[in-house]
Amino acid sequence: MDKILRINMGAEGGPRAASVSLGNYAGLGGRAMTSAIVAKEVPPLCHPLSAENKLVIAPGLLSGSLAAMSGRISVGCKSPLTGGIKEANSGGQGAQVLGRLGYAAIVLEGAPNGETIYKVFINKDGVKITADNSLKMLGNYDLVEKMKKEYGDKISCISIGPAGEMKMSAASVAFTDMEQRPTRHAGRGGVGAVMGAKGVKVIVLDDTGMPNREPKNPDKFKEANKNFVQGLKKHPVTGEGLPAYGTNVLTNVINEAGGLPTNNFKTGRFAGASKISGETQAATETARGGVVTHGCHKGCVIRCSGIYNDKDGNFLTKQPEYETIWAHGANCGIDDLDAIALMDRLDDDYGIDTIEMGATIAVAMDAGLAKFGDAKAAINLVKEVGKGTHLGRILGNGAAVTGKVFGVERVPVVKGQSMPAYDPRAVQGMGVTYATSTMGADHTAGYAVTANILGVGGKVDALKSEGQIDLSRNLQIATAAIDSTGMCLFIAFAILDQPDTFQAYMDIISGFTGLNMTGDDFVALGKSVLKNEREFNFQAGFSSKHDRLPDYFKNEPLPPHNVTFAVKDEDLDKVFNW
Amino acid sequence: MNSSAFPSLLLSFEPGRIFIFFQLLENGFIIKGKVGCSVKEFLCNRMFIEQEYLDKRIQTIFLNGKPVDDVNSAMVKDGSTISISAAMPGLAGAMMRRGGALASMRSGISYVPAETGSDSYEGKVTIKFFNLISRELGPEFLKRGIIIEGKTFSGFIGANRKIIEEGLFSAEKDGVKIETEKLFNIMWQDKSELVLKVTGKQDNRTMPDTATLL
Repeated sequence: MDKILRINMGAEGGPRAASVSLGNYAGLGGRAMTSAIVAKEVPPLCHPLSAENKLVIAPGLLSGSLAAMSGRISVGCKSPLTGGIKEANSGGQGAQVLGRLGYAAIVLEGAPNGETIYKVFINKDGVKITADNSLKMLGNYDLVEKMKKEYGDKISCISIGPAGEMKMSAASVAFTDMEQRPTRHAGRGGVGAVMGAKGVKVIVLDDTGMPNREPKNPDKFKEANKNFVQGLKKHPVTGEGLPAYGTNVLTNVINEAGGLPTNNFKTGRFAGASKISGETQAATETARGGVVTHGCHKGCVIRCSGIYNDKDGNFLTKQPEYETIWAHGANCGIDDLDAIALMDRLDDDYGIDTIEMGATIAVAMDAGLAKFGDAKAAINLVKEVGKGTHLGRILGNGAAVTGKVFGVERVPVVKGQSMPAYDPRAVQGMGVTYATSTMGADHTAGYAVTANILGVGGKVDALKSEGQIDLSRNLQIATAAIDSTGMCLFIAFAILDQPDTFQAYMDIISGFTGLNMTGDDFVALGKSVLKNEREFNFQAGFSSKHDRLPDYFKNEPLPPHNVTFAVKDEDLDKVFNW
Repeated sequence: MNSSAFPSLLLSFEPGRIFIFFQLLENGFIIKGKVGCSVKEFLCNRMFIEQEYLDKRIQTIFLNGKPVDDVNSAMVKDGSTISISAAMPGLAGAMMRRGGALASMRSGISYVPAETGSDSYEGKVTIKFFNLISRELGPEFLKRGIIIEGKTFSGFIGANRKIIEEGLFSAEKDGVKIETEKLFNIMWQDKSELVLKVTGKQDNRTMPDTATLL
């Protein structure tokens, strides 16, 4: 990965690709790369859909190598949803294939004249950009099938569906999985709308003939990778819980804690939770001949994904994630797994963020467009988005826009982005991260649970509430660093509990890069990413006043525990004091 | 209190499909007997869960929906609900772990021990097994027998009729063999509670009545 592919979509005479050296971006990957390029090259006050914005697609530092779990890819830009910097990342095959093709990033720049849309084909021989209006408004599934017919079945696709073409603020960028289905998405923040604004429908990658990336110190790398995999396999979360049930294993637990947002965040308990839980989902998949334990990319050893078949045993969608099950399920009062799975399929096909879509439908339900619990009506609302009707275009621009249009007061967003599947009144530490993240409300922004191992900001007393500010800071730093290596965030559990696994992780990076990566370096990397992002947001007009939850979370108690968000504003402002 | 006061149902079932009954454990089953003790006492000495299993495997415990950090000071009373889970993924999953590094991030809902007497008395407790706990303890508890509400069982067999029909070898109600069809025709919703025992096909001996445990 010693080069960046820059594609100027607005070049005179048509789009033009140029492969350039890494320059000052050498040594960066994933989120560190996307945020560095956006912070340096995108005017913070530009319109997100304008030619001045850039869409950066960057595999992680270790992607394309044999490092286990290194298949995450980051997509960055100025977000049409939040107006701030955005990094959304995804699994799938894209990171590994792009890494093997040698690109540390693809940067889409400028904007084409007219309405023509393009496909980009990249293989070992170079880059070919072709206008292809026959692809217009194709869903991601049909699009990928068409690309397979044209380029063969060894390809990997990065694409947008109709939502991206219509430049909806909730549009995602899709990545194909091992079965070449467009089931993995960089979902949050409207990155798909920016790809649509660049006029690029699909980037087709073919790494035939390209070897894996080789480590600088093969022996150290190999040994560390082996220890790392062993650490993941022996941990109860990464070795057992996630493979057995996927992320949806959380539904019962969060519901029991009274933190599962239900009916647009009105209560923290959903009566139908057990009908849509990970346990029920796994049993349903097994009974229908689906798959419960499945990786989303080669080299994944956790394998928290799966295959969800319909009642007749035919593939419907990948195993929906916990956030999707919540967004289209509990948050809309829907306890029908098949209906939720269908909405997941539609979201993937239209290319739209499942969290934003579910949250938006719940707001629409509060506005009276449908009744909570009405699965059929919810499915029809998603279809409105795919068709691009006037209503669909409103919904496709997210919960904040929908709330404004229909006069809904209680809209659960921060910086314009919908909250995910944890009510911040019940899990207040999550609320701290929702409020202060550079990304808007984001459950993954402070995900990497390495606080006491890294000792950032000193040891935190786990049982004192004052600790949540320090913890959120540490988690956000660690997450930014992991996002930069291309590692799946789920490695964080093994890292939290097993210092030897954390060391193995550092040794993988050291063995691969030839540098001596330490915990301090890891922290410094995370801090540098956040510094770039916060500086961009500041220049874009954000201040501490935007690091807040909507007022009603402070004033309206959440049943069943009847708690409100009690973290003081002045404490929120301390999160980035380091 | 004795479980013989309720109708009992013994199902002999294909072992490979017994997982379908784990939904009932997830929804909650009832234990009647002595309460007024710590969560640890209740789980280990009244439900006969090994302490090592509690210490190592049961990473998350809720008492009435509140995450428990100290199983010795959390008290079980009449009407309590205890939910137990293995270690969970996600930031929120890590937060819910008992005594975990991130416990402060959910301090607003954490269980706070109250000063109450510890005299034991008769009571009713709802138990929920989630995820790996259900998978690991479920077969044993189903074999021992669980008390569940009639309407819960009615909803369960209605929703899972096909797989139950496919996996059922035999059924006995109150010690008398019944046909599969009858299993679905009984108005279980009219029974307040029943004792359900499910055994694998090769393990269909009559089990001792241990549903109440205490």
